[in-house]
Amino acid sequence: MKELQVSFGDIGREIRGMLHLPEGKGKYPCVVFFHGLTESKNEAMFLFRNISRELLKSGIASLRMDYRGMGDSDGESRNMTVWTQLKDAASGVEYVLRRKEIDNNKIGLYGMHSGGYLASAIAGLFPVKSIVFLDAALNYRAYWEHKVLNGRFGSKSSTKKSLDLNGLQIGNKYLQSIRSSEKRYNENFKEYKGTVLIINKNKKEAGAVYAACRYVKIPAIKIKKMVFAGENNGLSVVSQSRERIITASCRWFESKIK
Amino acid sequence: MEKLVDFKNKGEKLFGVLHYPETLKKIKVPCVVMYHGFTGSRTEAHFLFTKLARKLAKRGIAVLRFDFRGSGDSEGSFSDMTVEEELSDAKAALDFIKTQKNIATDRLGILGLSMGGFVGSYTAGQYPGIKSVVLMSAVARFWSLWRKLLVEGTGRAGGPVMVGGIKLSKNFITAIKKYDGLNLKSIVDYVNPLLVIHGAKDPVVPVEDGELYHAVSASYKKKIVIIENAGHTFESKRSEEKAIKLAASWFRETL
Repeated sequence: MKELQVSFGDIGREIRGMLHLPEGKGKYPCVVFFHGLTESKNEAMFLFRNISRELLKSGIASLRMDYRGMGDSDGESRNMTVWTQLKDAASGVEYVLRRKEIDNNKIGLYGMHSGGYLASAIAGLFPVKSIVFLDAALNYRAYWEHKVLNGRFGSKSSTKKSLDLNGLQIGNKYLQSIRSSEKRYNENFKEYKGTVLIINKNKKEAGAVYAACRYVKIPAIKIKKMVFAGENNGLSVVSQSRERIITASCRWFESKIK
Repeated sequence: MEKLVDFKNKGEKLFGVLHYPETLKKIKVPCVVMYHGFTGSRTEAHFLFTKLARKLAKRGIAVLRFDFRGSGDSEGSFSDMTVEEELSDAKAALDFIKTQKNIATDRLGILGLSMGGFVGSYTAGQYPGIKSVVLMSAVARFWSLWRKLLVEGTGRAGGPVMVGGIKLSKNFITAIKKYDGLNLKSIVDYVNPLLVIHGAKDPVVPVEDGELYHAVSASYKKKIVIIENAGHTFESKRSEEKAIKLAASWFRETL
């Protein structure tokens, strides 16, 4: 087992991430992780890292990376747009395709929250076999309108030029790019021919992701509802169903890209 | 320049980022080592550590940000993490930075946030030659904080401690009890400059913890700044900018 810190992209605009490789010389299947907004390549309570380590046990490599403006990568969050995120997400996939240890016909994507939107938007551009959506916001514009902007616009620390998401500055151009990327996203997602696993904290949200996948006619969709008692107690899906999420994600990739 | 680095301690590989001032490659520069908080990582919430490290690098100060064992990208499991292990990693990080080229090993600083502040205050008194310390939202009374969390969280003290779906080991609590108060004894042995920054509305670590550090410190130059309306990680543009500016100016002045 090898865990390497990697960087790629132009000097001054570098993307930094963590590459997990199984022991040995063979070519390995690989999953590329896309984190949500305001998070980083570890995701909440190191969920992505733990899934990566579990995947290693099954001989599956993975890349976790920060988009530019987030985490360890170069750039500032206020300059980030959905377009730069899409470019970075694609760079991540291109990076693993270039690595000699990776089997280019066995690529999986993993998207959490807005990372799900990015995964769906670029999956059709690459030889991706399967995607796992975890609490994914596939209808990203609606997600922003209902969940993020609700009650936040006009808050004291928000200025006209940027939105203050608990200390993380998101530029107005990010909001504009959500709208402008929508059309391209739909076109790209239609090109995706692989399978999908949907993991969601509730039925309604899982249904919305399912509908988005049906709309683009994805052949095989499986829904894993993480339903549990006390669903609405405000705790995140990660803290409540952590082990189940890790196991379900790994078994899925074992069966789809191994 | 930001370099991805790693170093070993007690059998685990710890990963970090070393920020190096762009224009001063050939001369020795001072260096700050950052200690992140409980469940945090080397970027910290809203990337506070990344932003502060870049600011310091612009001002000619190198920075090492790293993940404690079990946190972030570093090896080890979070459920095995204890404050004792973090104290050992904290020392190893300082030892590591001393082996790096172009670092002025007699001008080392420490910045710790929350539980990293506990680790930083203890380390400042134990590790010889630390020249400047900044404690942000630092935990001073560790056991009293955890006792409160345990009672509030589970209704009883003694059951398994779950944090974000991860079970912590019994050793975690044992180590808190063992080191409780030793941070305050240790910081008394540290006499170089100390800056304490705390949010007036910190809902996690009470502002009294920051005041306690300032009160017991025997530093020849000490200062406390309580940022109005700020929470535990200074999670608004205004309070974050203020915290970053204070810490950056402090290190510029004292390192």
